[in-house]
Amino acid sequence: MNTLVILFFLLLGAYFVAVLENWISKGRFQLSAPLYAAVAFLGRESFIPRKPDQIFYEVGPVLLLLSAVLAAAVIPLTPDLIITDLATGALFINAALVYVLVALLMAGWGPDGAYAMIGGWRFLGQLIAYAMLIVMPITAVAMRAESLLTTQIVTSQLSLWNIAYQPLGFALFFVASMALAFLPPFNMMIAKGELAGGVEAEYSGMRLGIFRLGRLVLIVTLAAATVIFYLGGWQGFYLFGFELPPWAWSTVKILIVTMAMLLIGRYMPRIRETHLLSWCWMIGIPLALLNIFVVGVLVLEFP
Amino acid sequence: MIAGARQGKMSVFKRLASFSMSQDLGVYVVPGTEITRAYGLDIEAAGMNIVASPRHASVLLIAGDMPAALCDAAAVIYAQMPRPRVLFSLTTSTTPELSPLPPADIIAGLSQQELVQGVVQLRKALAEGAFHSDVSDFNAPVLQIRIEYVCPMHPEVIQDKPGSCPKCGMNLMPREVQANAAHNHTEHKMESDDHSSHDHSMTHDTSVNYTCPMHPEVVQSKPGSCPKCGMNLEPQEKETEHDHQHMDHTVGEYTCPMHPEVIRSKPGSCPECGMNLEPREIEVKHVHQHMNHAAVEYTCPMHPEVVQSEPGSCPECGMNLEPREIEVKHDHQHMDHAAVEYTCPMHPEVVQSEPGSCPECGMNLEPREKETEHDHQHMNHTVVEYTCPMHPEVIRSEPGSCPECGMNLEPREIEARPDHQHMDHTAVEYTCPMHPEVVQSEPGSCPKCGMNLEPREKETEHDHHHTDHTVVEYTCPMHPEVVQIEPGSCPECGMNLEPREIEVKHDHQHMDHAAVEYTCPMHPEVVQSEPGSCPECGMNLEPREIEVKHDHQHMDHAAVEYTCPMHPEVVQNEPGSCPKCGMFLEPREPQSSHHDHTAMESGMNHDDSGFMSMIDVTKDLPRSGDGLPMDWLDVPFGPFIPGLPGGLLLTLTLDGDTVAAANTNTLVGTETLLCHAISANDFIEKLTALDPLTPNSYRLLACLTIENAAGIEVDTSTAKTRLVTLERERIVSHLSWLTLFAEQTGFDWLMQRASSLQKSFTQADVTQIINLKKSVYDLSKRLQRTPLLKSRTTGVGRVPADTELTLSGPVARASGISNDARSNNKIYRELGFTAVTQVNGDVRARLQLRLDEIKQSIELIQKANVSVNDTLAVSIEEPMDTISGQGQAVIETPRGQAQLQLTLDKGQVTSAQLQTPSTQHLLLIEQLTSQQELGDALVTVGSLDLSPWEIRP
Repeated sequence: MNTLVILFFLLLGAYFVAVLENWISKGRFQLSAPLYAAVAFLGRESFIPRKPDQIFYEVGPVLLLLSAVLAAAVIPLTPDLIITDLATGALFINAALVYVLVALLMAGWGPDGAYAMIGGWRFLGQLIAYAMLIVMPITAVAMRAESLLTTQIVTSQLSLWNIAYQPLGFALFFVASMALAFLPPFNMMIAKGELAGGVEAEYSGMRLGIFRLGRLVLIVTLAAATVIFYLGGWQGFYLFGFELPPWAWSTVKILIVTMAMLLIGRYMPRIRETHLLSWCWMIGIPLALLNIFVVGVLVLEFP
Repeated sequence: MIAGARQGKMSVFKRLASFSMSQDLGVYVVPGTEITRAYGLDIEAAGMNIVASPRHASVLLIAGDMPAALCDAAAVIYAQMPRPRVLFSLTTSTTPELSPLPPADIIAGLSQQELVQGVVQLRKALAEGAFHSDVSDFNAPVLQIRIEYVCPMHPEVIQDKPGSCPKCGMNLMPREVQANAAHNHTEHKMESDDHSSHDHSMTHDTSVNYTCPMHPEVVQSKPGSCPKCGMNLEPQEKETEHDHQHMDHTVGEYTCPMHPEVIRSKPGSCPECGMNLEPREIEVKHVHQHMNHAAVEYTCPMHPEVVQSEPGSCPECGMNLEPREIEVKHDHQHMDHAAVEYTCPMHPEVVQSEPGSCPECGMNLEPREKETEHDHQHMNHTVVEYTCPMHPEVIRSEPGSCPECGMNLEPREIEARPDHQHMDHTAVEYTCPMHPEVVQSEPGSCPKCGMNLEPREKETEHDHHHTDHTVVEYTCPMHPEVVQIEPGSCPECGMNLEPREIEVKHDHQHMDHAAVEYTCPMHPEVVQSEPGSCPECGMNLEPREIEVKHDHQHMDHAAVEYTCPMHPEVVQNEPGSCPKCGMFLEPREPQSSHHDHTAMESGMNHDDSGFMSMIDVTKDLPRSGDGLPMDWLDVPFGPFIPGLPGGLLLTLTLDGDTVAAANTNTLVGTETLLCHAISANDFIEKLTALDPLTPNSYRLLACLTIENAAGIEVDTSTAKTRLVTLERERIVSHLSWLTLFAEQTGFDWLMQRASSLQKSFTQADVTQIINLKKSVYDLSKRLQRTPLLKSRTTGVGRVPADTELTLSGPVARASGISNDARSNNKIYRELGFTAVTQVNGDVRARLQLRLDEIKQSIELIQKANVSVNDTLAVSIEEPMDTISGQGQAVIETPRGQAQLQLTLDKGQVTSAQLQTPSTQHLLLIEQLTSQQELGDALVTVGSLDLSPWEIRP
């Protein structure tokens, strides 16, 4: 039952992200656009490249969708609404999200095409950049909660949300999750101007639909993860004398974070791969370590 | 009914799907969004989404008129779009000429209003016609593919049939290339790129047969090679048997005699010169192009003595005469009648000293140089290959015909290695890369595997122990199994036997023919008792002792070790089996410390110097600059890739994601301005139509040149109006470039802002331009503050100031070369113009410079103070009929300096030469993109602001 609700929520979230993306990039707010697009995928012919690596080609988009849904399995929207409250929940999110790399590499290698392959390689480089920056802030968050249970992490923020407690960790996690979801400015692998669509380029029809859906669900999952780690999950406050139910708070926060993720990339050119790697390793990781140290000291004083 | 409908019957669900597809329109713009912006169109506002790849698109939007080469490329794009697909053409003519594309489904004019109406029509057509019960496939000659075979280690060896590489003996691997190589304008592999017809299986048209031009009786339904002569099969329509019957209007094609690249399927006029198109058959295309109308004769295949200069029927048997080149001149240069013999192309053993017919097949004998003594001696050391005199890249190991032109291949020695010339025979030894123990003092072939020996400086004493000069045997380089003690001739081929040292003593003692077996170095399980070729990979088998235990006692060189060919790190002192793979260990000289030293000095892992090491196997392959060897791919970026100007074909050889080499070409540049005299006004119109991105600049240039020829001087107010026009075009062009730059770097906000500004400026008059000044300044300030933009562009694509190319325009000025044609102009000087420059010459400098130039242009327009009522059109008022003279003018177009020289003769322009800036800037690409990461390389190419339309090939 929980599973169905969460899956439905993910689908709805993905739909809204599609609408938002359309609005932000084209200035048209059309609620029906993703629906038309989805049915159009069904109606369009889908063809495969001439000599694909069949397994990888087919599995790539599906794995992307699966890993996003798996990561969402441990994310609580309300204290009771969680698919599975694993004892290692926070780490499980990271583990599931690693498969995004595998999925994109498959999608890059499978079609036997140069643009897709280069896109896949670029994502490999990007993973090396952002991987540490996802795990280390999670570590700091778990330190404060003294547990890896995601529900525990949310309740530990009762006094002060983590965004104020560990702003450095928030900034790093936010940037790293944008890189994981290959949103602009980290979208080298589906670069429209450079690689003519890159990893996405060789897919059409239903497979492209699944790929895009997977990406949207990934964005929603990452926004949800940011919310539970740093923005206090379902906890809210009195707003004009009203008290919104927990799921409404979750939804609102996730929506805000998603909008922020989508909006930021619009105002910047794509980052160069060399810079991404060098900045993440030379600046990002020391900052993440500093964050862990600072949080460690703070936890002793202010639990 | 749309031409690109999908097969199916309209059920309820399909209707729903069609409706959704009509609402979700993905459009791919050809030749590019910069053209649509130049015409003032806004595609997003019309309701269509611009997509990055044709595979996500359902509408192909063709803006303006496209030259034939682009139509071919557009056909490839069209074939990649998933059905249902719609062809939407925006053009001023009523029936746009789009062959080989199908006729346009929706046609609209080149204005925003008509575009919007066209989109409405399109939606309706798609909703109703997306599925159709009877659809025909789309096929075009440009989509045909043929397979050729190349050697993985020697990419210059190309054959049409499977076989072995003459250099190393390995099996050739298949590779796909475009079939009409002589016809196409995009000559590169079609494997995995924007041009590849990945759905080739679907577009394969089964109603076309393939036949050999020389053997019309050979007919197949798939492309391939003629089994009789090896030539490529040409497509032929099913209805007829014979090529020549198609000389009628319905199925021929029409070409301009002066512009053979112009090809249409219906009679008409040449777009370049206006002449009537002449009919010509499709099938003999590739042969025909090399035939000048004066140098073709028609002959009967069965009666070669029947020769005519026009097509027709043979009087003896009635067959249609086939075209054949008259012996091309340059052949004769090589041939002296005394040294020429005549041979049959199909039966090379038939040799005569006079021309005649082959007794076996009746064909005319073709002349060929005699194998002179001189040649023969050189052919001792190396293997003979056959190459086409006109196409030196075509190489075969047997005599035959050139696939591109049909000429006989001439014999030639394999290219001697350049090293060969520099090495003195006394200080150099020749060794086999795969078998370092094989050492000779003269060049030859390795007796073990047949590869050519490489020269190498003499090694240490250590090696000499292994070569005992007194124990020498003589062997044939082509037949290594022929071995004699004395010099002589090879009984099999007659060549002189080469001396060769007997192998390392211990091997020799045991190399008894009865105790030796032959095995493949790459496939150790293949074992034979006689020499030959490996059935799996085709390499020569090497001899190897049958493992007998007692060998061990006879090994006098205690320093011999046994190593596994596949695992060079496994080393033992006794023979046996490799613990990792079970192969027999092969004897090998130990790596002396001397060896180790050289290996480590060159940075190689010393494990890799052994058998089948990657260093040796990839010896001939290129090396990457950063030391990380990755897959080398030839990737085309282009003609329609988003981010680069449409019509520019950029083929990058990528080493991983670094650019190793770049090859550029334009598909829309015009070569000849004039083929006959035209009136001055027509010339002005022609030059205006040259470059749709900057029409006014060229119009102005033409007017200035003609006025210069006529000696006319315009008055100040006209000059000022012209200044305003030129400067406005500069602003528009720079904003268009900015949009393209933003698209390339994924900077969405800038893309939208720049394109909306461009639209405002295109339609603005003088007062509006001045009002837009603030927006431009704001944009410039915003770009200064944009995060990541500086780091993206600083240091990338640095153009050196001291290059021998003549750079001009923003590209030059950003590097500090301050040349600007406007500095010499009176009016500009009066308004206080000084050229803006930047110092660094990288992408950031060019970006900054163009922004500064936009601001400067607005200032100039403001200062010029032209009245609002003056038209901003450029034209010549006075009649030109009686003017004669020579004129020249220089103008600073938005991209650089353009120069025009022309000759006027009584109002007619008789000759004209044009130099454009993009032609020179194109040559920069090669050096600027070398060793750059792909993204940087593309941004560099984009920052040069090339216009493929004005590039003169």
